[in-house]
Amino acid sequence: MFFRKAQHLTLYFIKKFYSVLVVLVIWDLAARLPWVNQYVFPPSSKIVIFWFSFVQSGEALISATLTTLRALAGLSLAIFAGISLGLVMGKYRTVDWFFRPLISIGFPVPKIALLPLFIHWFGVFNQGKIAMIFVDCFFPIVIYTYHGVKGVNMEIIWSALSKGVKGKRLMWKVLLPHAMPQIYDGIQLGIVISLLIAFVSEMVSGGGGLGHLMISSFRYMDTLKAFAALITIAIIGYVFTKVGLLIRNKLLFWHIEE
Amino acid sequence: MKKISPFGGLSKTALLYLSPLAIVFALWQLSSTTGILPKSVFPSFFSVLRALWDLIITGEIFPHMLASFYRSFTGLIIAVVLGVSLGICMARIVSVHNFFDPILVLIYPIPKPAIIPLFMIWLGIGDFSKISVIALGCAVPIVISSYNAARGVDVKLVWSALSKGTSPKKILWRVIIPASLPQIGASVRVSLAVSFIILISSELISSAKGLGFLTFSYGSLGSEDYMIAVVFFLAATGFLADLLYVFLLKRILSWHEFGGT
Repeated sequence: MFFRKAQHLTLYFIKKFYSVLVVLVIWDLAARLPWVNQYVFPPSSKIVIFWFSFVQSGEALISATLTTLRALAGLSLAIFAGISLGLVMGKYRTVDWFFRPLISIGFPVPKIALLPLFIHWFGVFNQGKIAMIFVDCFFPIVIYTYHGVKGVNMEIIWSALSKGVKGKRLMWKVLLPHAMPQIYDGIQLGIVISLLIAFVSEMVSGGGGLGHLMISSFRYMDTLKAFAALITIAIIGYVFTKVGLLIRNKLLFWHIEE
Repeated sequence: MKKISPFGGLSKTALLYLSPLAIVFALWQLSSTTGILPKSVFPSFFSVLRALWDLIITGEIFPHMLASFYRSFTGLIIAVVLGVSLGICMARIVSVHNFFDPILVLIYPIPKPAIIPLFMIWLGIGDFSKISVIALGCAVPIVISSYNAARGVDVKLVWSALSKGTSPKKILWRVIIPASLPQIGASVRVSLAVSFIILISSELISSAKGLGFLTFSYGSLGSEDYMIAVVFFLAATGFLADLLYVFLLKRILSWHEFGGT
């Protein structure tokens, strides 16, 4: 019984992911051709085997934890500040008037270019990177929250007002819950951005972490370790988005999304 | 008769829109001159403006600008051509979808700037590796949204075209592609912003030319007024590119009503 189930599952995975296998096999064979330099282009089987030993080493665990914690710290600050500003902007017109141009002009600027300034202010280690991640995640969360609040059905607001709910109570009890699905879209975007910025800022300015590990192993031409770091960050990104989706469906059970 | 005022509707809203910016800049300059914000921490607004003027007048910024634009636009155009065709093929042909879908799922969560060193080793440190990374990073969202757009075309449109005698072969060009263009256009706008981000990070990691290189070299020299001036320039060009794109998109797809801005 169990054997049969396992067989079904493997067949299903092979059917679904056969193209990945095809690509990996072609890669492996191509890398083993005599005129290919394996330092530059290592075979895929070697990368996968190396990755397992890499995960078991302490170095990987330390770097991955460092990157993840930085991303989470910046992201949670951005979530807190972004939702607050977005809500207030959606509720009060003067705040909206003041911040809307600043946000909409600041949003498309590639803020990673300001990294040297952040290093100058906060240093090479955690604080500078967390500040950079915060700034980058802040803008999309504000924009999504703002649009979520603005998109709340007027009839709901009117009926709340007619029942005597207004001011802060309206904001917490009516606007925030109704804007929640949109806010969560902004947070999902923020999750991806936070990991990206954490990785890039570590690549550019060092200070430990997966990004630093990857760029330094490239400099020593240790391509296998660089690939292992890349695979690790991709898996972390995948897990982050999946967990984010899981939390969303638990939290917003009335608004399930695939 | 319509009343014509010197400050017409547009300029009045523009003034109202831009005044917060002016307030922020004024506060910035004020706190610099009074010494609340020391020059060693953050340069004053006027010194940034002077640096920007200097960069433009001496023409120092333009070769860097051209190098950056060449990279990001070439990458974006490659991404649009490949991404849209792959997305629509995936929507129309099941086997293509089955082949590429898991690969996309695997590529999607990788932070694209992380691939830059890899491409540098494979394709050299010149423009080619940067353009390839930009093309890859921009193509992924375009593929996904053009797939969704082509899948989401209203079946009634297809049926009514068929009943009016459009041959099944022409359905693709006559119905599917025009109907999915607005959504594809919106995704290209996102990719335009993405291309700038990947461009800057790839130039931070390795280059000898380009706006990202210029900001980083001024930043490591400690002349922050010039660095912020380059970022201002970058923001302005990105903003103008976005404005131009939206204008052209609305012109080309004049039959479609876009919501918001």
